[in-house]
Amino acid sequence: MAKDRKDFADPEHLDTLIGKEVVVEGKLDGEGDVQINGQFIGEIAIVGDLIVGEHGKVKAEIAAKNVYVGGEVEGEIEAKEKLQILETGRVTGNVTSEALSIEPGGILKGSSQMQEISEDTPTANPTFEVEEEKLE
Amino acid sequence: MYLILVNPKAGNQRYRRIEKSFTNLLNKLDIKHQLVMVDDLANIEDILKDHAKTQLTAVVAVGGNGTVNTVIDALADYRNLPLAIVPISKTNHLASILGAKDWKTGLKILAQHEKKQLRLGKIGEKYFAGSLVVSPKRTLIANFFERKSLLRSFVGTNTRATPKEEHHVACTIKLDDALTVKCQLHTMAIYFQDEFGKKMKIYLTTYSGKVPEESIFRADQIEIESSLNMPIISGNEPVAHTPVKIQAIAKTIPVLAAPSKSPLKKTK
Repeated sequence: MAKDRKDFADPEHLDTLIGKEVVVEGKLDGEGDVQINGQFIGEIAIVGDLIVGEHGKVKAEIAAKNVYVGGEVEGEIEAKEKLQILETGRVTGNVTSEALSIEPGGILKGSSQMQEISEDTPTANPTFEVEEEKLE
Repeated sequence: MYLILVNPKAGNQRYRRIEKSFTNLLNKLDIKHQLVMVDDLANIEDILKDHAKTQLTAVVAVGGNGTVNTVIDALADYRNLPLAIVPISKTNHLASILGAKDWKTGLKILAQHEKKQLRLGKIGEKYFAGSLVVSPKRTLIANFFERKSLLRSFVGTNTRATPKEEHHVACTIKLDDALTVKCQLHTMAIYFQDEFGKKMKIYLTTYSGKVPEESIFRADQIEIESSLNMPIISGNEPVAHTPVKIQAIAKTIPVLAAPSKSPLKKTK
């Protein structure tokens, strides 16, 4: 399921959280979600989602389910499902994903390749929840 | 039969004050036992060896964290002999995990319990379970003075001596030979997980300016190096110092815990 902005600040569901003043080098793997608010250099290969916070700086090859970039990423990104570059996000490198979204202000320097979406996967989530909120 | 190992020095010699009520409750609960006073924790291993041929239901550690850790370390060689904890001191993390919030509840668990497996950790040649804290000495002292008590309020020592965010030490932490973490460490808490396959959960607290920041990692092995030697605290006792290697090992000991749907609460 796609993440909302409020999820980015919730450490409860995170497997790994790298704080602002922390520098990590090496290979990070695992099944849960990872959020990086500090610095990371190396390789990330996770089954869950990767969230690069506004202050996060990542220099790595990345493979994850969904990737949300609010900080800086240098390196190739392979998102199994969705890559979302937020308004403060900056990605330098080639990206591969099923879906790509770049918010106004977000930067992608590199080529993007879209993976084919399997027939079973719905192409878009229903939007009625948002519309209900607007009506209120 | 339960082998009850009592550390009479634990919790400021609390056992001496509760001895009568303690034995009364043991008899009331009809718990068959042999009680041994352990004046020197170094003797625990020999006491266990002496009782190796006795049919024991479990070994009961009556004391604080030091007593519990020494018993765990000795029990690691007796794979199927369960451990029960009766806390005497006020801070016994492992006892509270097992549902033994005080000595009375600890004794009631002997009468009615659920057997669980507790995964062990190892520092050097010593075994541990539960959790560990790594922190600069200054932080530990400051934390001690921050704990509010009527006495400290009366003498006016509830105030902080120095700002907390200054208490940090440059650290390099290696996780599973895969990751190297560099930070100015304020506090590190390590939790051994109950189940196999689950790695230790590590919480790092650092400061960004005056704002505390938390980092979370998981690993089976942690190596910590620091610019200043930091104590590794189990409960409230230092068990090692940095540089140190901490491992979650593929070994468990059976423990007696409060039943999940605890009838113990009703008996209060």
